[in-house]
Amino acid sequence: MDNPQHPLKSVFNVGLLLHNLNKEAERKTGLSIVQWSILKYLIEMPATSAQELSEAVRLHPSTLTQSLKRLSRKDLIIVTEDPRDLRKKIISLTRNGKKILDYSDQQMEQIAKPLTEIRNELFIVENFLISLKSSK
Amino acid sequence: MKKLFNSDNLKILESLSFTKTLYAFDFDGTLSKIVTEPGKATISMTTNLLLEELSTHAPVAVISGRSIADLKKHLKFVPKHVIGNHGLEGLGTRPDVLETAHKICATWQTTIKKHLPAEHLKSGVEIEDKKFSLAIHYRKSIAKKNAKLAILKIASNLDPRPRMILGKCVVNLLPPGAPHKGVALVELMLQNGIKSAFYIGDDDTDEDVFSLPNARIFTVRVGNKRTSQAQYYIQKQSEINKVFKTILHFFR
Repeated sequence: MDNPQHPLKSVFNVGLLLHNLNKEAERKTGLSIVQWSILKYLIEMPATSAQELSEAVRLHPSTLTQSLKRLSRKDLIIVTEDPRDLRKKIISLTRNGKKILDYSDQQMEQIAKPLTEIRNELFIVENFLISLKSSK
Repeated sequence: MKKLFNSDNLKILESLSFTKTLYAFDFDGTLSKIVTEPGKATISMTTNLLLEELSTHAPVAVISGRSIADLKKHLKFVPKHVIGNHGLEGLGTRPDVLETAHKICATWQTTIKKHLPAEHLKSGVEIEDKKFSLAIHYRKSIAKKNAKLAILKIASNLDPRPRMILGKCVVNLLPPGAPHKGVALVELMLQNGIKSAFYIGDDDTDEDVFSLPNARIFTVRVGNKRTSQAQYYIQKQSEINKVFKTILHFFR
């Protein structure tokens, strides 16, 4: 589109495109982008707490809980009691999770490839939206 | 503490193998059995081979209260990272700091020999000079409780006042400001750019590692001690080879 349009229309269109991108990721890898992000964090940071993971992937704790349930059901992660504080949980990648991650990494790179051209723009938009959220 | 050999806990242990993790071991009571004569501690051939095999897959360290020179006499395979004297040796401590520690220990030794009642020295209390720290063993004493009290009384009046780390029938005296095993482990991780670690030890001297607040340090105590801050435990030292084989299985 050449004509400027209402910013909210662009936001809607971008949201739709991201939704489709996510669907493509799930179709090709069995993982949504969020799930993949969680596994990517866990492979580097074993025995992570839910709070740390929530902050790292920038998901609200209740949203994270749903994602963790799905991943746990697929045996891609293990969620178990923190031996130091049984009220808390620690989360790690399982062997199955690592296998899926190793397989999906390449697919995700292919999906993300077209976006590398606008990496800087995406970063600007991301930071802008974060600052918008924190200014409220 | 939870039992290490439980399927969920082993999955957490396994996840350490997916990233660069330092596998660190205490020596006495962990890699080798506790013995009455410290000079007679040995590491079994199987344990030695397993330690060597693990070092081909991941960074490995032995962290001990013994001096490095002493440790090397007892390790058939010497891993890349050997930390002695509870962290004073093996991490690039400045020579002047080591020199000061050495002088302090010499002064302490003289004072202890002067003030420790003769009956204790005759009945099994031994002072081990580790050059940069002292270890006063009372395992062979016929009156262990009295020996320990006498040692602690003298140690608390030493100048400068030592950092005391109590072990199994041993009182370790370290110069003030000296690191402990927890500091040593973290320093080793920082120096090598490693974010997670596995540590196993058997003694109160290892509690400095067990009490580290870092969630990415997986800690195991040899023996189930209720008050330990370790996350997991194995029943006894003889299970150490099972620990090695379990970890090695993750890499195959």
